[in-house]
Amino acid sequence: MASLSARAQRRTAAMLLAPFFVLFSAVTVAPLLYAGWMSLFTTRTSGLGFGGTEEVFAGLDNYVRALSDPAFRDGFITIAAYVAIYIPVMIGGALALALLLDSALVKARAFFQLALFLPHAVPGLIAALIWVYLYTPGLSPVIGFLSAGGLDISFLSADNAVFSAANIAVWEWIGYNMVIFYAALQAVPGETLDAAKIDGAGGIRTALSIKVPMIRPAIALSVLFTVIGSVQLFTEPKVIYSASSSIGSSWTPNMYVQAAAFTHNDFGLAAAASLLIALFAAVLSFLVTRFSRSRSQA
Amino acid sequence: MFRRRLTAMVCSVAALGLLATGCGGTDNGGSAAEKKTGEVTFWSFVKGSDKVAEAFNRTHPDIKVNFETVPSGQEYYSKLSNAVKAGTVPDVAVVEYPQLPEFATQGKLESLDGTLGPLVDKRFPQSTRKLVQLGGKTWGVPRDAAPLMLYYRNDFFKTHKIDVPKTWAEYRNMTERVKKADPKARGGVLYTDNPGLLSALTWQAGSQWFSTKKDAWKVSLDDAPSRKVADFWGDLARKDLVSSLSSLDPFWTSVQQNRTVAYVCASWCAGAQQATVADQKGKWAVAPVPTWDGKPASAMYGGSSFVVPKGAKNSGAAAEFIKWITTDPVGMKAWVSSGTSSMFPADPELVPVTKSAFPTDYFGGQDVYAVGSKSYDAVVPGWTWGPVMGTTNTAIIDQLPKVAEGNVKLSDVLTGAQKATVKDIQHRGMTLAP
Repeated sequence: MASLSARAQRRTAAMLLAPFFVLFSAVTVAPLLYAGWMSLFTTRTSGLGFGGTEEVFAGLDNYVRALSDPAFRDGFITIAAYVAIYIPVMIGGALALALLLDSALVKARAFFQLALFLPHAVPGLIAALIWVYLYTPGLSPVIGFLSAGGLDISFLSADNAVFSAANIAVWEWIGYNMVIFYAALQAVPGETLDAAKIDGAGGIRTALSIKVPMIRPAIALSVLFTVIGSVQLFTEPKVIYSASSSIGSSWTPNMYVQAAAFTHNDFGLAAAASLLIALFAAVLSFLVTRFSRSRSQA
Repeated sequence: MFRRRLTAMVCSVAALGLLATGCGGTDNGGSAAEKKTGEVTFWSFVKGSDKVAEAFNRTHPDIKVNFETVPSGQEYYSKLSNAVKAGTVPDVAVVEYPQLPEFATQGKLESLDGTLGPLVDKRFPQSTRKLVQLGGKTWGVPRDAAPLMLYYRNDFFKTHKIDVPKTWAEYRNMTERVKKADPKARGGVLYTDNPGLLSALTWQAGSQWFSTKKDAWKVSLDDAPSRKVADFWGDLARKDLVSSLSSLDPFWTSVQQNRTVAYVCASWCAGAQQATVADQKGKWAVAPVPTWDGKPASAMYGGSSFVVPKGAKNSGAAAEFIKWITTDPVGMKAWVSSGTSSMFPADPELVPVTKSAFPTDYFGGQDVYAVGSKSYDAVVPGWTWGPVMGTTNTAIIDQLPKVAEGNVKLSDVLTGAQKATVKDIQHRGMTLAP
């Protein structure tokens, strides 16, 4: 009897899990395998090239070419610079806003929550288009205003693009992460806060010594998602590139992949480079998880 | 290799089941090319494509053209490329001249030798034929040529007594005088996002970025004429004698705000100028493009051709359609029926057709097409586009904005593009001439 119900239970579990695995294999595993397959081939022709093309087995040549291409490697340096600016500003800002909302100081809490979250409801592409409009000289009222005040800033130049891209992303994501932190703060037990108050801790001390340590898992999770998202940085710089090409067509690794596939018609290289990015993101998320776990256990 | 074998296997299996449709067949033309009826799918982004499809359908009851509008630019070429891979190609597609060799060398086009080759031989001047006939085969049929001209603000030039330049030395002089007359105005532009005009100007100076020698490509993006042009324009940009702008909104905004009072562009700019900056009607005029030695010389900036992509199902009817829209007076008239296009037909015999459709009042009654015709006749022969233009163009575009910033020399941009191009040609297995 017991074994029968266990079997029935297993069958139900399988039935409930099946949709996930079907979709997972169709839209994640299968494309990964296909990309892996594609990354082993390259398209060749001969002479002037008008006699047709053929797919030739290339072994690991596409991987070697990606890794030895400075344009691909520089993409990761771009990401590092972007992360160094973006994560402290965005996570720090979201945390500060969440703590402010959680404190007794704020009136109209629901309004601010909604207002800060609203930019996240704008799709990334639209957000990037709006910001690029504000960044384009001759069109932007902001630049006109600044240069009337004697300040000439080129938001789209290669040197400033990291800030410009990070700025768009902060605007998009700060409210979202603030909501996560705020929700985590609601779970901080009232008696702990009361105890802190009785011990004489002020608002700021309570925030930094009680609240922040207690929501550390939420912060770690946000950092993890943000880092992985940053490795895939594409939309914002792509739109910036369309307004000014000074950042180059391979500014981030994902832009490199897109250019390889659709500008250079080199699908093998594009597949190899995407798999390298996926590998990099996997290693990075492993490290971030390890790091934050050991920190929270300490 | 494996995929080929797989296709062969699938085909032989299908043949066993007597279902041999779609296997083999398409390369040698055969029955598909002879059939001149049925449906034709037509992809295009050029102005008037819908009108021309409608007009064709009205006059050709046996063929039904289904027009699908597509985005222009790199996205379109990716889409077309992917369609060939996926086997979902249209029967007729527009491809601009610079992109044509890349499509042909990737085996993505049907050769038109058996259908439209003789027509191309007969109707188009040699300089234009060279853009669509490569490796001894015809890959596309030219629709429009895009000869260079100089556009200038007649009122501004008159007020400040500035002469229309005939040579590039005079042009430089003109840009200095424009800037002196109005510190906000400039007498030209170096596009930061578009290498097309730059390559046209090197073409005009006698450069040949690409040529074929027997069975090998010769690449010389940084030959002497090319460097001369690059140094000239790089210097104008660095000294802020011409503005550095994107060729899209920022450029047209500068025209609108009287910040650009002269610029070099192709014939099609007349229509674009008239449509985009309607309120400057009567203020503009055109002149022959300046030259290095004062003798007429020109080149093309833009222009498009029509091709039959590999795997097209109705190439016979497709050829009929292409023939009509490129070389038939009625077809040519349909392109410009809206009256807003200053398209210059690649077939010189059809110039009167488009000329009569383009109103001249915007240019103060001037005969824009007469200037265009002279320019078209003066196009320097021998220019061919290269087999990896995606790579070549991107290598240039990525560096262009830095020229105005003063960090990079324009001639070094061409040297960089030369290296990237050679590397890509080698990687694809094509032969390079020493």
